[in-house]
Amino acid sequence: MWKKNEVNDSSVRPVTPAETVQPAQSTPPARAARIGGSLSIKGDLYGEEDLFIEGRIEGKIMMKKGSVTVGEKGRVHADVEATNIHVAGEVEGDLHGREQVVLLETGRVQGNIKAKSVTLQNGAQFKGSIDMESAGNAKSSSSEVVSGKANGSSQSVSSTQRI
Amino acid sequence: MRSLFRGTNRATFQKNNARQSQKSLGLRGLLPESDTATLRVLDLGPARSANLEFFSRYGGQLTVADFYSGLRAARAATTSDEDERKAKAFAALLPFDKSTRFDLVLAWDLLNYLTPQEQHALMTCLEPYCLAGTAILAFVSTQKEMPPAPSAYSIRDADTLVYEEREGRARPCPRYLEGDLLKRMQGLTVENRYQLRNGMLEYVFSYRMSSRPAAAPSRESLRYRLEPTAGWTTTPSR
Repeated sequence: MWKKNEVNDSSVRPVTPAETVQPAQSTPPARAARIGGSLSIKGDLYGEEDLFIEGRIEGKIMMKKGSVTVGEKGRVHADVEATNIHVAGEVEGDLHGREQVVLLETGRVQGNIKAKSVTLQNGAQFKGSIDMESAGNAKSSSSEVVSGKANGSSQSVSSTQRI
Repeated sequence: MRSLFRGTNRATFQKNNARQSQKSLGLRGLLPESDTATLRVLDLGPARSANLEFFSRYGGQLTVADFYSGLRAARAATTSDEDERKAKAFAALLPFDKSTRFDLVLAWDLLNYLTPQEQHALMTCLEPYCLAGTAILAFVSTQKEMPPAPSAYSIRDADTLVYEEREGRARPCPRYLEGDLLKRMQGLTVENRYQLRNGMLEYVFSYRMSSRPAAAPSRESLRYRLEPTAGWTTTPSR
């Protein structure tokens, strides 16, 4: 009566949280503009694309669209505004993520955070305020599991295994 | 000779004992009962993801000061015990906007690691940001020894904390008395105290004095402060 081969059907598999959310990352996205480790910039940066920072920036960073990622070697002394902000390096300044701010394990932030979703990985260092009225979905995460859901609704995990 | 005594060697805090849980009997009473209430929290300990997650349900603002990490620099900046100098050095560790106010201050076990003068300086720095009724949660040790540095506290739920002791050689514990703490930290009264199993006294202090006009409190949090008996007990509960 029960078809055993359906259980091993590779087209049917559980959906894990990691597949439903944008993972936090400290490596540059494929299309991101990149500020290399040897570069040091003083001034304001404006743009509408993803930005990956490995160097040093002083000033202000504002991305109308796209994400800002501060790599492990990145040193940012600036207020940052972007859709998503991931920090694996050092930031001294306020972070305003229109959707999400993620402090990765090696991240060190001194400043205020405002975002719909704030994630703090274990090991991240932070000093400052987090506006929780904006952060409708604050997340904690271990180094193994990273959550970065952009909207305020709770996650649901669906399993479509058939017996 | 076979030793019949099995005790924990507390001369050095080992890594395998680093993460422990303890009850908090005072925290639940400090949380708003209303779902729409907001809470402005100052955490004097290091940033902990669990605390962010816990307080996010209340809205408002969570400020993390990680006070002890900056304390060494502040101590080096002023070698004298002069109150005013210490207060100035400490003020740099709490660099908030003048309009900032807090409903709840989490001191955790920090007070055990401050000298009497530093406790006074800390309160001097905190006072501008406190409103009448601002609560300060603190653990004061009654043990002979304590870890070399303050533990990092995470809130598991309203009744349970998880703390991570720092590794290293134990140091003598000052075992501050309540009366001495109140003399040094002016403006505070004891709302509740609880004796915990791990030798800590859990204090819920309340700030009573304000020499400045109070700033407008956050919406809904006013309701929770005007009804101080809601969720609070006047006698220690166990």
